[in-house]
Amino acid sequence: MMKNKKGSIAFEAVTIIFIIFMLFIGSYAVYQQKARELILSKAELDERNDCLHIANAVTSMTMMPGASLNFTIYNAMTVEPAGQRIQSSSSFCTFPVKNIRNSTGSSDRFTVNAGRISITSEDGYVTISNT
Amino acid sequence: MKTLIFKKAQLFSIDGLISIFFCIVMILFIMSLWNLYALRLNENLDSEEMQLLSFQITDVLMKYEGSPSNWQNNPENVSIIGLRDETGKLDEQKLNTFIQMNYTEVKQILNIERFEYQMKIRDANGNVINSSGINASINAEQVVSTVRLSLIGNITRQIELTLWK
Repeated sequence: MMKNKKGSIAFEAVTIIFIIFMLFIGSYAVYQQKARELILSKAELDERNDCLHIANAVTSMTMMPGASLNFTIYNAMTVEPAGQRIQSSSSFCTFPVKNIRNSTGSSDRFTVNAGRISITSEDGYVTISNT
Repeated sequence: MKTLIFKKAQLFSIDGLISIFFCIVMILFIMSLWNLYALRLNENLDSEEMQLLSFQITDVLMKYEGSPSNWQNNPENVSIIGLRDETGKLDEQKLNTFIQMNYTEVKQILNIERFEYQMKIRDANGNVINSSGINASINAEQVVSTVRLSLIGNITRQIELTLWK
């Protein structure tokens, strides 16, 4: 006589496979979220780098009347001379001097586009402009 | 007569559950580690920004005459604070005026309203001669100090600027 009972492995297997599948889906979702965070962090760090580059140059130029400096930035920056602040889309930095203006001589808020920029110090002012 | 009994296997029930449990623990561990490093990165960025500001401020104070250059006679109208005199040394009158200036006003001019500061003047042996600002709190999250050497008259002095928050 042969007893051939059906095992309950089928149900358990389905359950386990479902749990593992959900685990993979969850891991993938976490991976996607972290990858997105990483891209945002990298963009923020790049902008911050440009921002600090300008802030440093502006502060140094204040102490060197007649000097000029050209370099490249990779992100557009908004300079607020009155607020002594440089702002980009996801980052900002500050500088301790007030004598900033744009190429037209205005000390109102202005934008510097990505690309080569020129920073010059003359007449007691530091001028920031695209070249 | 031969009897064959097919018993249920226990492979999935125990081994499977244990491995899934460890898998979840590992994922949670990796996620918490990630968040910890993200937090540390932000703290480092804050600290670096304070260091850079501290360097910039001491640079301007010690290498620039200020704007206007005789601002010490009328400190209400100062645009940029600088402590240097025409010879490149520190101007004692400017230094004294700076130390006596209103704390909040100095923070506004130097654009460090997000932080607190303290400036100490020390002699060559490190003894504090004069100071202004607020001493860093024990509970401060970040404290950054920059020390520069300079001449006041012909005497060597250490200028220490501490930024904290």
